[in-house]
Formats: sequence, C-alpha cells, structure tokens
Amino acid sequence: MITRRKAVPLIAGAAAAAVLGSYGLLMARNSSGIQSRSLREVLEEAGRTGLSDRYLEFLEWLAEVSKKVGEGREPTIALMSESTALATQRIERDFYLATGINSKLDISPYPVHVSKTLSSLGVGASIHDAVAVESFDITLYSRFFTPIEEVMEKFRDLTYGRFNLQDFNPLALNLVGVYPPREKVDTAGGTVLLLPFSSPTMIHFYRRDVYEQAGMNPPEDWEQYIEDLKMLNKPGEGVFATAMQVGSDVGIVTELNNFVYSFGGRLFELGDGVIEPVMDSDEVVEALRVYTAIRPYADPASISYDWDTVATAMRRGRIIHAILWQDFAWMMDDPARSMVVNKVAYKKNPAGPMGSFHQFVGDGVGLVKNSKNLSAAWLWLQWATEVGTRIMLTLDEKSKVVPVRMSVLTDPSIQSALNRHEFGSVQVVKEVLDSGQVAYIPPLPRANQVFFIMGKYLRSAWAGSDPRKALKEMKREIESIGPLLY
Amino acid sequence: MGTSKYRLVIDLPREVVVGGELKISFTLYLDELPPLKHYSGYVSVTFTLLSEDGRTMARKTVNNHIQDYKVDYMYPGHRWGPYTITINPDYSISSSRAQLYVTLESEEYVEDPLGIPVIATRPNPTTVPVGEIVLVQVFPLFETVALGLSVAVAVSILMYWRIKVRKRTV
Repeated sequence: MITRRKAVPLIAGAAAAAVLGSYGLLMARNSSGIQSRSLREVLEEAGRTGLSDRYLEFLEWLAEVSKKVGEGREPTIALMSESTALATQRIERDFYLATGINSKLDISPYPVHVSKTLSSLGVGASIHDAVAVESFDITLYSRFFTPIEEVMEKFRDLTYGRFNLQDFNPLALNLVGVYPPREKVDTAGGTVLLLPFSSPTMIHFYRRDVYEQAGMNPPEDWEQYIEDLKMLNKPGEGVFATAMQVGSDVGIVTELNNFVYSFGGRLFELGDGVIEPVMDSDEVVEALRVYTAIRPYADPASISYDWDTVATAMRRGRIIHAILWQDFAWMMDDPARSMVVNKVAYKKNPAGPMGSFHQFVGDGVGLVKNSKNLSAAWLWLQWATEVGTRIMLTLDEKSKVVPVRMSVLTDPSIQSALNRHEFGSVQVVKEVLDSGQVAYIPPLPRANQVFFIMGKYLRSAWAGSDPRKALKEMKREIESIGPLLY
Repeated sequence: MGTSKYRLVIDLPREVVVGGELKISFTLYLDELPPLKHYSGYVSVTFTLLSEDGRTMARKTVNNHIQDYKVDYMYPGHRWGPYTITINPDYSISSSRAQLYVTLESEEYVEDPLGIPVIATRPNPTTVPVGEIVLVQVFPLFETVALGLSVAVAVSILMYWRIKVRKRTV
C-alpha cells in the first residue's frame, strides 16, 4: 500500500526521471549513431577493392599503430609533380582511411618545389614534414633531415615489422638514400637520409613500327645509331630522326652523361668531401663529339627542348628516336595523349666503347628534423614505400613506376606484367639497375650554378664550337666558383 | 578541352538545433582533368543554406588560397580536406527545414616545360543541392527543467489527492 510518506519520494523520483528523460530524448535526436565497420569495409565503400592480403595486412597494422599518434596528425609531404608522386597521390586515400591521419600532399613542379622547400627549411619554418629530393640536390638538404636509422630507433613501435632497408634496390639506396652516396654497392659508410621514392632512368625510346616496316633491327651502338638517324631524318615529311634536350641545363647535361659513361669518361669524381670536375678528359671530349654529331638529324627546335618537349615530340609522332626518362613511357600508350599508341618500344641505350650506360637520377623522401608531425610522417613514408603500395604504383597504367623495393619483383602480378609489351620500359630499367650500368651525377653543392655553367658550354659545342675547348672552359669556370664541398 | 571530374564528399547533420552552429565536414577529390591540363590552381567551394521559401540563411566560401586550406597545385587524384567549417545560419528567417547547396569554381592550368602556368581556363561554376537539414526547436535545459518540474508538481498534486480520497473511502 502506498502511504503518503512513501508517495512523496516516489513521485519526486518519477518527476526527476521524466525531466532527465525528456531532455535526454531531445538531445539524442541530435546526435548521430556511431557505426563500427572493418577497415576492409571502409576501403570497399571508398571503391578500393581487390587489394592484396599483404597490403591489407599492412593497412591493418597502420590502423592499429596510428592510434598511438596523439599530437601531430597532419603531416605535410612535399613532392615533385612527376609520375611517381602523382600515382602515389591517386591511392593515398588508403593511408588516410586506415589511419585517420590527415596527411597533406604538397605537389609542385621541380623548380617551384626546390625553391619552396629550401626557403621554408632554411628559415626553420616547420611547414613540411617530409620532402622529396633529387639525388643531385641532396647536399642542399642534408642538414635538415633526420637519418632514417634514427627514426626507426626512436619510433620502434611505429616501425612495421617487415620494413627492411635491405629490401630497397641497392643502387637506389646507395646513390639516392645514403649520404654521402656510395658509388659502389659494397662500400661502407654514410647514413640513410632518404628513402628511395622513384628511379628515373634514361632509356632508348624508338618507333618499333618504323623498324618493323623497314625490316631492320634497332641500333646497338652509337655508330649504328647515327647511321640510322641519317636514314630516318625526313624533315620534308615533318618527321625528324630524333630530338635532344638542349634547351635545358639539366636536360643537356644528363642526356650527354649517357654518352660520357659509355665512352669511359666522367663529368665529376666523388672525392673525400669534395666533388672534382673532371670533364676535360679525352673520353668526355669524344663523347661530346658523338653527341654533337647527332645535331643535323635532330629537330632544330631541340635548342629550346627539355625532357617534356622531347617526350611530346615522340608521342606526337614527330621523331623516331629519343634517349628519354622511362617515366614518360606511359604517355606513349595513352590514346588521349599519344598518336603512336603501341608503336613505341624500349631498349637499353646504344653502347659506346665501354658498353651501354643509362643516366640515373633517383629521388628520395627525407624526414625533416624539426617536424611537428614526425611520427605521422614516418608512418606515411612507410606506407608510400611499402611493397603492396609499390606493386600498385608499378601496375598503374599512368605511371608504370619502376620498383624501388626488391620484393615487388617477386610478386606474381608484377612478374606477369613485366612480360607484357606495355611494361617493356619497366623491364628495361629493371635490367639496367640489376646490371649497375648507370651513369650518375654526384650530389652537387650549388647545383643550379654548376648546371647553368655546363649548359652554357654544352650548347655552344652543340652549335659548332670545338668540344675540347668548350669542356676545358667549362671546367675552369666551375673551378672558379670554389671547391664543391659536400 | 574536355571534362574535369571533381567529387565532393560532405558530412552533414540531418538536424540542427535552432540557434546553434551548423558544422559541415567536406573533402574535395580532383578525380580527373582533361589530358591537356596539368593541374587546378584555384578551387573555391561555397556552401549556401536556403530556407523553405528560398531566402538565404547562410553562405560561406573557402578556397585553396586561404592559409588554413592552402595548397598551390591540385593534380588529378588530389584530396583537398577533410575540413570542417562552421556556419551560423540566420535563424530570424523562419523555416522548419533548410536546403544546403554547394557551388564549385575552379581554374585549371596547362603549364610550360619549366612548370610555369601558361593557359588558365575557368570551367563554368557548378551548383548542386547537397541535402536537407531539419531545424529543430529544442527546449533549452532551463525551460525543459521548468516544464518537467511543473508537470511533476501537477502529477504529485493529482496523486496526493487520489491517495487522500482513497484513504477517506477506506
């Protein structure tokens, strides 16, 4: 029986419950429910299906460890607008969906990238947490980066168990990752400042259809190459035998370096803490003579061309041959960009007396010392260089990125792709890197100044001045700016 | 020069309490540019909230030149965001629901071999409806407590009166 004494607290309790209940009910209407979904479901909803088990396993690890990253979850990654970076960006949402880390990709053309990143790093502004660097620019950046080994030690619990520096292509790691670079794979010393990100390598692009129609084989050495150029140059029909990168300082130097190595010469030698210009040797003189002998059969507009414009001439069907960066190969078979779809083939460069050599300018990504998002940037960098990620980048039709991780090459999908014509350029670069037949320019301090001087004298030789005299004067002017210390 | 494809993913509350802020999260993906274009150098996203009778309750624009949203180049594949913006609608405009529209503007560039932009094109701005938001009239805590207490007092009086009546009957 309810007495008056009992009734009062009961009624008060009911009233309080009613008040709280009604308020809670109103508030609940305004909040959304929390849904719990697996990472695989989240990725599938974003259209990311068919991902490999290994990659998913890595993403699940990322999802778990990224919870430990408290502060600093917005790393800014500065990359150059080249095919590897753009392909990475296309799948970068995987990293975001797995970790919730809001990484920002700041992708710019090379000259803008260098000036933007160096100016902010130089004044100590922590705008970028990870920065891509061309191998020959590393001297400009080295003091701003934390060695990767230190990062691995500092963030042991944020380092993937299967991450292994030894799995990176040894050539790419030694010439791009290690500073000072190791020109020989078995050399000791140096620390890893950059993780190799891409491996731009120059190879021989040629029109397969033209050679098939003529019943000829492509040239094997520079002598045959020039003979073929003579035969194929038909300016009256709007077709030139080739085009050259004479308009760009970096372009003409890197293009020539393929010849220089094949004749047994060197433009620079890496000494103990100093880079010596040695480009006045007989071998380099001979290489430059052969290089300039191509001029009569090249598109005369080569005087204003760089690698982009040579690639454009190739994909528009205006030239038959090009010594060009493999990164452009994907464009040749893109119907939206190319008039020579399925007509271009790839091979090693023509050989000189010392064999066939290929200019290599890899780039890598370093972690900035004063970064406020270092742990998040480290997770991002592991994702960007992880084997599963790299398999997708290689198979990406719009990039065909050369693998920088050795394990990528053991993947069945990659092995199968490398046998297909569309991936012929990747196969050629793989063979080049495996054989170590690379031409290389060491990390130059004041690189812009040195390239400017070299471009000036090489263009003069290309236009007809004496190669020996041009190279002697080039060396003297480079020496006049002081020792190239690194 | 071809078609560009942008994808805007918006996280929008179904309801907003009248008097409160409206928080909208968005991410813009640049999925595709025509082959001849290299990047988008300027994007602007404008959110417009309209009442049932078409009056503007709020408008907010963000673009990639604003410091907090800054990015210089957007190449195909770029993810801009997620960002969360706060909008304060004009609640003096009476409406039980509001419609959110978003307008996208962009400038797309072709660059020369040195990376210098040489041709800028401005595709026609596109406006699309995003969704409807219910404007909820919620009693604030004080009013809710006052109302609840007055109901409780009324119920107490009623029950006390019934107990008293039952006792008297017994």
